[in-house]
Amino acid sequence: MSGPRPTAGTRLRHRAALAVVVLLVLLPLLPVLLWAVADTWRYPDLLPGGLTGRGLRLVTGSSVLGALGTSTLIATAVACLACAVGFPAGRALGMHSFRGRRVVQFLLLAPVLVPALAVTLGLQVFFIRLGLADTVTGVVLVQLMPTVPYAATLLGASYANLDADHERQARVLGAGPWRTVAAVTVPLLRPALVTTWLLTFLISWSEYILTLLIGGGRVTTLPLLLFSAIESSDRTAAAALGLLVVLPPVLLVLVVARLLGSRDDAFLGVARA
Amino acid sequence: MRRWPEPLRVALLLAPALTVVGVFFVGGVAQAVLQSLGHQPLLGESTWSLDAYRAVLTDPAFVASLLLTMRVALISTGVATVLGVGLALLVRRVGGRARMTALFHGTLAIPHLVGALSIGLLLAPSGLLSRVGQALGLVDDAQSFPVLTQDAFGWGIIAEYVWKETPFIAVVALAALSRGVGELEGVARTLGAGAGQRLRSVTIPLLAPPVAAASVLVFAFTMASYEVPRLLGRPFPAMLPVEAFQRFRDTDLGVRPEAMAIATVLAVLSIVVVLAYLRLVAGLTRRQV
Amino acid sequence: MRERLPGPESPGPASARLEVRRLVVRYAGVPAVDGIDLALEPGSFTALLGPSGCGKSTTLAVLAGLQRADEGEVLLDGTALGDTAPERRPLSLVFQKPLLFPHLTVAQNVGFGLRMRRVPRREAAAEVAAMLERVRLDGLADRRIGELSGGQEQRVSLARALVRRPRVLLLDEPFSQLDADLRAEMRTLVRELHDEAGVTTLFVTHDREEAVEVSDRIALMLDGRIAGSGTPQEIYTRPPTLRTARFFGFENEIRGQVAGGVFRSADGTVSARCDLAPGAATLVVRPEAVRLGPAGEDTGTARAGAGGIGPSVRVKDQRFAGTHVVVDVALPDGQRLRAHVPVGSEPAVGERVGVWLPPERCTVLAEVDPTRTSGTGAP
Repeated sequence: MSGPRPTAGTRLRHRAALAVVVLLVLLPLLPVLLWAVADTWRYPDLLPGGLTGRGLRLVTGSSVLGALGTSTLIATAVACLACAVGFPAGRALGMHSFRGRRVVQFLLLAPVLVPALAVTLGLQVFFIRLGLADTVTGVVLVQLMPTVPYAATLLGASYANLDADHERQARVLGAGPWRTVAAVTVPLLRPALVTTWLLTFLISWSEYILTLLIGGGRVTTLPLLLFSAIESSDRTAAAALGLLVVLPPVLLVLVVARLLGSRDDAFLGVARA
Repeated sequence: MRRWPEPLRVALLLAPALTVVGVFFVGGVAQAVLQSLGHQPLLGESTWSLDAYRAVLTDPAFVASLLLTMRVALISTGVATVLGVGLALLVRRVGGRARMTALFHGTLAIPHLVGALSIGLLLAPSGLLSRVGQALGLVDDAQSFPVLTQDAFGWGIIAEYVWKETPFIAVVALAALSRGVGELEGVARTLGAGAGQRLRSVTIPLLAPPVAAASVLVFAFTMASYEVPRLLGRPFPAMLPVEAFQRFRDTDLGVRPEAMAIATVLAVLSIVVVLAYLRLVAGLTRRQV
Repeated sequence: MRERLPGPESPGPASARLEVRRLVVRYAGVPAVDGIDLALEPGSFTALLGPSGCGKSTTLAVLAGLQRADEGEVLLDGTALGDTAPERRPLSLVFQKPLLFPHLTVAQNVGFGLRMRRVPRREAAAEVAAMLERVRLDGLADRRIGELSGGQEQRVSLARALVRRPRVLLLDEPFSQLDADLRAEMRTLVRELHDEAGVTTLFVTHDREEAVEVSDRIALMLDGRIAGSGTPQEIYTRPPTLRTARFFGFENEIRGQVAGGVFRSADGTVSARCDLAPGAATLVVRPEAVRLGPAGEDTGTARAGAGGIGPSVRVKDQRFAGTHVVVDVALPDGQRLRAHVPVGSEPAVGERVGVWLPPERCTVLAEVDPTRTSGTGAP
């Protein structure tokens, strides 16, 4: 669709505008990068006065590595459980028409829109009563609340796009119902499953307040360490931890976005942890 | 999967998800409401009253918090929506869609906690922007740099939300633009629509539904997030989630119903705003253009 | 609105003359449209016919201004359109897909072009209502787009294009996604609307029957070039070029030489009068025009002074095709010739028959395809 070709000047202006956008997007990350290796950085110097490996030593220290393990464990568990719970729900939403469908859709939308903090404040006493407070199990369970609705909705959308005849064909060719799901449905939905897993992993990985409320500060994930580092005004520590927190999700998203191609852009777009 | 009757099958498929939502979400909301009305599951004795709501609603701290929350959420959502759509249109025009989408995806994956750290290090009185200002001779010292973090208006919070949510809107808008919008704009051209008319009569109405849905998510999120306003905002007035958590953490357990009252108000508010917004958008897109 | 539109007998200001000169469009250096010329007279109905990928849709996009030409020009009533933006061209384009605006109702879709021109609301509403009636969609004005059938959608699209009274109407395979019955109905409707409004129309299609049925002129486009053009009758009886002949079912090609106003095949068994200059030439004839007779009888030259092969050739193959039988015979020099004969009168394989080519159904073209030896076009 060309029409009148834009003039060279217009093109240049557009390119310049886009370059400014890229800079603006990346700019806030610059001080984090610099602070992570800054030994001293007095005001108003534009660059740090000296470099230090303190940030690097800190993030390879035992307490951070422990938190890294806890974060990975919790996020992996949450992502797997959310996919496992969301997969059948997505099937119901995408392939079946049933009464009360709108109610179910509303129930699955509401946790996304209503603040999780507001909901969890009231729940905390019950986690204490059941002995789930201050445990990894408790944290994983409470994080299912913001992740399961996403998983069910996303998988429901891809189930709706799935041609049910693929499954019928498998049945006609002699596959039992479970074999059909394993050998046909899951492979066909793999892009959606990968995206959903990644997205729920990200939500969990970034979660701070629910972990604090239910983990009581005893289940120490990376965001909790990062938060207290920011509070303590140790900028080098905070910046180094910040990089550690930010790198895995960014890399994961970029890798998966490449694997999936551009057709699932909107899918990933929902990944606003 | 035997040939079970359809309703039973659907019920079984939905059971795990609905259990999670029912126990945690519905249970949580119900508990917040009950505890705001005086139910005390820890002590076991309940004295029902609306005292917590009365206390909260007459508390100037709450009123200030409510105003701040609405202001920050509205400005952040509005700015991110306009910028995101504009950005998507720009990218489509200039090209490089794949690379820009990758950049946006990367930004989306940044946790808000890190976002708060970044914006803090950028905008604080001794932050990078202030240093650049000093170098250019625009600022005398850290004290004369405009207060953009821990400020009363919430600029720092808004900056973080806009930085993180603009790419989200842009990604959604770009995906929507790639779904046949170009073809329909071509049709509009052959029917005599100029550039401005195409934008108003075709592009914007077609983008409105997906972008509106996305900006509802943004609005709900900006109203409800804790760590960003906690780190970039002031203790007073604080945004509603911070306010609620402060009262929840108060050593005086008597304040806890107030925390629950604020939580309930926050939940109700987000639902009301979202419903009103959706209705408005539906009206806008259906209007006789 | 009907009064204001001139009828087909008096193509008035409503319709324009559209001319295309030496048009070239390249994709990555490769020409998709390779120097085509077209001239559409005011009020005419021309079909641009060709297989998919021949460049006909690209040509249409250039005419509408949606695509830039690398060379050549488009003239509307003698004025070059050049870089004129699509929205400033007095043309309407109906696409292959209906491409209705999903956020608008049927009436709003139809009225879109009028709104763009800022036609007063009341006037526009009246014109939209009249147009909806003409495409038999009255009563559906306030429907949403999702509630329409495929045929209804394409009729809305047609109404949307026509209501702005374009001076040229471009149709890009508008019915190819409809099923056969509906397609025939839509063809009739388009022809009716054309005859009423008298608008110069260019109809792109890959369907031979559709082109013949609906248009006054056919231009055949192959590999980015116009391979031949003429009225449907001309194209079917006297194809202007070899490629046109092949596309329109002249399956038999016999190579030979023209000398002294007579075409003679290489082995001398076929001859025909023609007014071509001396040189290599090809005689083309449809299989349904080829007559077979009993062996031994000289059915050829003696009777017609043209196109006869006798006394006998051998039947190589025959196959039942419903309304007729397809018979392939081998000419003396080994070339094959295909004939369609009535069911029941077909000769057996191996039988010897005489062949007669009626001269009025043979066309001699001053072209030879160097890649092919003569004989039947079908393998």
